[in-house]
Amino acid sequence: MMMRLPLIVVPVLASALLHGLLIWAVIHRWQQTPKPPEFKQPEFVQARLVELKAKAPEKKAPPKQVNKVDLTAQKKREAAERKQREQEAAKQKAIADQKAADAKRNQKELEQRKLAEQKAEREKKAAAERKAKELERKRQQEALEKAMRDEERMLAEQAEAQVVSSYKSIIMERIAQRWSRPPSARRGMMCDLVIQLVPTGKIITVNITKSSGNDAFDRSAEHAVRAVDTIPELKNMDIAIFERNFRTIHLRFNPEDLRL
Amino acid sequence: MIYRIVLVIAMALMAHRADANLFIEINRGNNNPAPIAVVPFANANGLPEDVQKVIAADLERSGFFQPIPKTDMLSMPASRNEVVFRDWRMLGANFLLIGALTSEPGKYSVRYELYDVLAQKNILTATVSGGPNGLRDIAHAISDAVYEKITGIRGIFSTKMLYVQDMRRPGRDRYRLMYADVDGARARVLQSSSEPILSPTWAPDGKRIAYVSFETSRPAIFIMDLATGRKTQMTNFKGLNGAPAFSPDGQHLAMVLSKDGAPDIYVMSIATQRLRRITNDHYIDTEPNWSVDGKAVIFTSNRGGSPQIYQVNLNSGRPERLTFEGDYNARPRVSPDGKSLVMVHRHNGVFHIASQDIASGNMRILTETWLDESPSIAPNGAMLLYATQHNNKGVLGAVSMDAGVKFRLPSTEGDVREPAWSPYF
Repeated sequence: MMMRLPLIVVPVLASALLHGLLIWAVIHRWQQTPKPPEFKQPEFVQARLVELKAKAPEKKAPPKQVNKVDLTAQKKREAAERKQREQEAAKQKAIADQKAADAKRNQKELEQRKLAEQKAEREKKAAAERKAKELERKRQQEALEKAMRDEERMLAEQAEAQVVSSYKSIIMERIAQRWSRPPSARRGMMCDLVIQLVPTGKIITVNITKSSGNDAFDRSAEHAVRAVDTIPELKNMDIAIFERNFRTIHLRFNPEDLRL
Repeated sequence: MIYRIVLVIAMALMAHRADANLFIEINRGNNNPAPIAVVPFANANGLPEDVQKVIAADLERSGFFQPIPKTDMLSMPASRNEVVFRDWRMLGANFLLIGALTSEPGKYSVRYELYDVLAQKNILTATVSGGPNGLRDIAHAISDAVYEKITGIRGIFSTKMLYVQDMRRPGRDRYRLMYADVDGARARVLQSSSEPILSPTWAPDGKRIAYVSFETSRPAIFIMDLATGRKTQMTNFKGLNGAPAFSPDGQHLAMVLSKDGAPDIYVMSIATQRLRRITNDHYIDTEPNWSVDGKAVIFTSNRGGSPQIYQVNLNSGRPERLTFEGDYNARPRVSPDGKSLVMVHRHNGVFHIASQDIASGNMRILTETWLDESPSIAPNGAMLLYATQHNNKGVLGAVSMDAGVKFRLPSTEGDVREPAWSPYF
């Protein structure tokens, strides 16, 4: 019994050792792969690890049959068994090695993937940053362009306002020259007219929109406009400026120069 | 929803457009006369009076019109369908007066039409008639209507004036009280005397006049009924009897009497000839005139050391000084609207006619000649007549109340003074 024991112990030990190695490897590996915090998709990595664990216990079954050995053909069997064990061990070792290599490779792959993913992440981040920068640059560009456009428009508007103002005084002057007030006109009388012009400067309609209450005064205002008839200076005006400002004009006759 | 948004945007745009419309204020102008074409009326040739000429002259004298010479007219339309507005516009006419005259035995009629040439529309059509000697009356009536239509002020071309003419030669008709159209035409003598005639004045109804005559060897106030020529002597007090002025209701005469010492203002009831003394002091109070409402009398007094204008309320009897500018303001007349006072004002030793805004006290010199006196305001308040000197002769002048128009009436024989513009008839 004492003699036979070691004989059985060796393969059992070897088997146990291998199993232990396997279990260790599995556990160690299990423990060695904590959730990488940076990973944005941890589910993906976990799924792979579960697959690995399922494969390992399956390989435990074959070595247990070695226990049922006949003692009569012991030496031969022993040699064969040893050989077989050796082969088995070698095989197991190869498998273990293979496993280890696999695991190592897996880990390496994982690390590589991790690196790749980190790299991708970095690249993604960089891309996002680039994109943000690009957007910012674009935004600034647009703001600048808008500011320039605004500036241009403001300048154009200022220029237009100047043009309008100068033509306005021409119109005022021409009408004032032709406005001859009746003796019943008094300071404080007020008459509003709306006139419409065409780009030749001709006044085509004259309408009293608010009477002064004095027909003679109203007529004098209407007459002033009709006597002017055409404001030839308007012919030289940019058509767009004319359309925007001079197509319709509101006039208020409000004599401030009368003595009474 | 989209429609509503579109609507809101459209409205905003429209509002913007309305705001964008140019607004121009015309706050000055000119007082240039308005060009008017007075076309000779059809069938008006060979009549005793040139109606077209009378109307054109009336309108021109008003200062607001500038008649276009007949010789410039391209056509002489008598009705609308003969009017070519473009031609009149080319001539520079703002207004066009056309018409046709019909003469029946003992009667003339004129149908006239006034056009606004610039607006190309008729603004007045009417008919006016007169007797065989009424052509000038017809002309003045048309002038009045045209003037009123275009200026917004009632015309005064049909009103009359009184004035005193001094023939400057001794004799029974050296002094004449005259009655004439305001253009000076159709003057006729109401009264003549070898002794001075002074201060003619109108009753507010235009039917009676009052004046001062020395015909009874001392000055006396007379009232004359114009229709009958009948005279009534109102005063025969010793001393000064002068400067009569009818109250606005025509029932009283304000006057100056010196029967109690210094010249003072009295008011006489015309019906009863009862007197009421208004001022009572040892200064000279003279030249009374009535406020528009008849509740106060305005007069000249030297109580402040120099002649100035005062107003006395007839109920309270309390006098109030009205003029403060210069050292000589006299012969006050109140404008028909009661807002201003015209007077003789001495400025740098020269007598002018000046007007003063009663509310503000602002004074304005209206005439530029010298020795101007006796202002008399037209019933429309737009002009006044006054007496002045021209070529060493007394003549009548007219000036618009804003001083924009001035002219002299045609000179006649002798000196002319103390014009009195009639009320409306």
